[in-house]
Amino acid sequence: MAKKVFAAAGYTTVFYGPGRNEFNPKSMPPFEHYLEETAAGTCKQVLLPEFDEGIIGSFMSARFIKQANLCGFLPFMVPSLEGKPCTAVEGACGTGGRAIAMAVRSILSGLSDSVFVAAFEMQNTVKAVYGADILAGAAYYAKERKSGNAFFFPGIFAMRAGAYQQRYGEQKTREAMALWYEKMIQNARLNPKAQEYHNSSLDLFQLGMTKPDPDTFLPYLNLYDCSKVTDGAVSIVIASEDGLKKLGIPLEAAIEVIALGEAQGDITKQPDEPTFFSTTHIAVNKGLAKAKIPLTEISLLELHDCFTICALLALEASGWAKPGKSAEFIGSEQVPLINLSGGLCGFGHPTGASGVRQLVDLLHQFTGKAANQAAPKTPFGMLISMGGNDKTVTSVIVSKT
Amino acid sequence: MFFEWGKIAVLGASGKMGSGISSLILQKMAYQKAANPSKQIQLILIDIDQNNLNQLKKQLKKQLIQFAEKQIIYLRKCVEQNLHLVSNEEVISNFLENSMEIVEITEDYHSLKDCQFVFEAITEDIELKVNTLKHLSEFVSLETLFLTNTSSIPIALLSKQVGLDQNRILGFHFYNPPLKQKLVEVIALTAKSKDMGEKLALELNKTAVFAKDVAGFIGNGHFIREVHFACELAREVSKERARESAISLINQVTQTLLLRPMGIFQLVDYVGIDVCHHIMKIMQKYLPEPTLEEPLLLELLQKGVKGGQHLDGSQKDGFFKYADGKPSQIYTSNGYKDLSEHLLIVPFNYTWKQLTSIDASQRQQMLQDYFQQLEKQETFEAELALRFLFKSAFFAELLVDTQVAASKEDVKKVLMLGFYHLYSPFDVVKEVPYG
Repeated sequence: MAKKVFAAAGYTTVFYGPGRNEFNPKSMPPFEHYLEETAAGTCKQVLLPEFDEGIIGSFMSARFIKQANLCGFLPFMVPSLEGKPCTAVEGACGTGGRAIAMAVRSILSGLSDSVFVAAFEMQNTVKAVYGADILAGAAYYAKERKSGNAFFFPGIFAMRAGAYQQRYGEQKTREAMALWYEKMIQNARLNPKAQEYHNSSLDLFQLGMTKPDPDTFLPYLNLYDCSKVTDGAVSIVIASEDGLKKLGIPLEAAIEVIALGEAQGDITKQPDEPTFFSTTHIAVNKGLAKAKIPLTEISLLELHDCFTICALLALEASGWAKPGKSAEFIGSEQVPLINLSGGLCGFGHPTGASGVRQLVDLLHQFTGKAANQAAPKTPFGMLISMGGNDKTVTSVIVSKT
Repeated sequence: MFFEWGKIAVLGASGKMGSGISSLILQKMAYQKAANPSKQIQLILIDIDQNNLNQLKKQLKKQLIQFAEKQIIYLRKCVEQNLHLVSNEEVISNFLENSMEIVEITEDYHSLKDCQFVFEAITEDIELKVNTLKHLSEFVSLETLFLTNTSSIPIALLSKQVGLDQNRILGFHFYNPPLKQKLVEVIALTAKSKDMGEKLALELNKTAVFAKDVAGFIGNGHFIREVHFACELAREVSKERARESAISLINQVTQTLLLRPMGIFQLVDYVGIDVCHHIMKIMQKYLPEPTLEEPLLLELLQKGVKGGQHLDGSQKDGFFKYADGKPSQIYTSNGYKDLSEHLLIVPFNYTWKQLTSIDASQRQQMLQDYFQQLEKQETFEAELALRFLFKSAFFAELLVDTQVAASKEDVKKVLMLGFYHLYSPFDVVKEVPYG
């Protein structure tokens, strides 16, 4: 990059939804509560929280909470943003990645030395049956919704899972997906903010092996293959080196954003090959090329597992697993360490917020603040933030400072 | 699909049971019509209470939406060819509109011509039922089958007094609430009506238990006798303490120590004190027991305290006043007073709720161990619980011995499905000690 860009002062609220013991759909905190909490969480880590710019990401607040003009909430969250440039960003479930990318651009352009980046989503405001219609906006609604499954996006990825199974074997695919589910819940149980933190189910693998039922849900996917409906917010600071100094954030409390790999697919087109995430492949490889490091140097990964099949496809598109070999990869002693946070399956998936949440988790791992703290073998980490059916993809490569 | 819905009527449609039956049948009809929109289906709802009929329409719509949300996969398939219905919201809205077109709310009995069935769900009062059914039978066809939701009146008696052929009247007793409860007690006088009862139960996705045509049938045959015994016990216990304390203790013992979803007096409130009283009078008239009617229930009724539920399902005052669905105050002859908790030692600290989530075979052993432990306790409360349990076992055996129930298994089905008991007394009582 033209200059060094850093991420620091990350904060995540608890991700609420079905699964958390305290979840009560009749009495949920309003969205303002989440925004205030995450802003306070970030600003508490900053000596002088005077940012040059604000960015806020959310996918479908206009429908879930009937609220648009979200940039108007940034000064509400951080009073020093009053009178400063503020922007709202949207890229479906890949909103978080796009929000980070926009902040990095501001730093690189020299327009800002520090950007407060927030992202959130409130999905429990509507029942899942209607939420499905809203989330279908991440695809080409006018052409795809009618023929789509009642639950839409699970239907989209069920088709990918079906193609994968047909190509590589039903049992093997099902076992890989069940194993992924098991690992994500185990990780979530170590993370007090995760939606699945209270999950006490005994045999997770067996649950993951539940035979899909097309009459009540879908072919090829069961309920355990799907991330749940979540409310949550997250925030982080993106800053130049000067920006960090002005904010009073020590370098050791930050990580460096060393590369972005960004790729957009044509939403009107169906995937050429349903068993391959072509846009993710482009984004990851671009990011690695810009970072000038090989894939093997990445020791920490946060990938976008909105459905368990997405984990398999992301691993293969990135190059960690050969085509059809994700099952073996997931079952092995993995390098990199993946989704220690619990991922989307375990942490939860407030759609617009997940990308920023992934960056916060990489930050916490590399600065020793993670709930499920690991000892990464290299100083490099990556997140992959995906919107829609592998359409809007951002990979962010970071380095420990 | 076990038969094709055509034209059905529900009498007493806006009452507690009538509204539930109406909603259940409407959902089944709407499900069939969704796949075949040109099908001629009609649901006629009749009630003398005009005020509640508007409330009924709202309730039907609300429950139809909940039903449609669960059936969304099926409903989307039904409207695959309709390009104007894209989102789930649009599909559900369309379903609601089409389904409500099935419903006709009327006072005009002429609408009943050519009905396949008339479900009768009016007050549990023989004279009222007989007069109403007699009057209705002038408007319907000779093929119309009457299904009565009576929980106590012998069907043969209704058949005779109304002047209906025994093939044309069937006891079809839903449990509360009809939408959720799996159990239906069926009392058939002929093989033909029994066959129709079986088909209808299957179509409504219910578990049918067939009972002999004896007042009270199986459910009330057991429950009302338990209520009578509970009142007897209350009189006995109130020799040593205040009456309200005795009632409260027996209620708590029957819930907590017998591991039931609610205590016996709370259950009376739930069913309705007026309903229980009516049933007691009917059973008193037609059964050999010397006495089943209870002065305690009559006392509350004379003070206007009836129990039962509001149309929205919330509990009305009865033996208890309720806060958040739980008893908070108890009836005394001088008004309600705050409830005091009785300290009970519960073996293994088991609760009904906890045990409902345990696998049935594991639970069976846990219950055996529990009651063995309860028998070892030498407390007054444990003794009360065991006396009640033994009496409950006696009543269950009586139903089998008098062939009201075809088998112990049928009594067990009624208690477990209809009353949410975790066990039948046959499971935990080795030998009934007395009558």
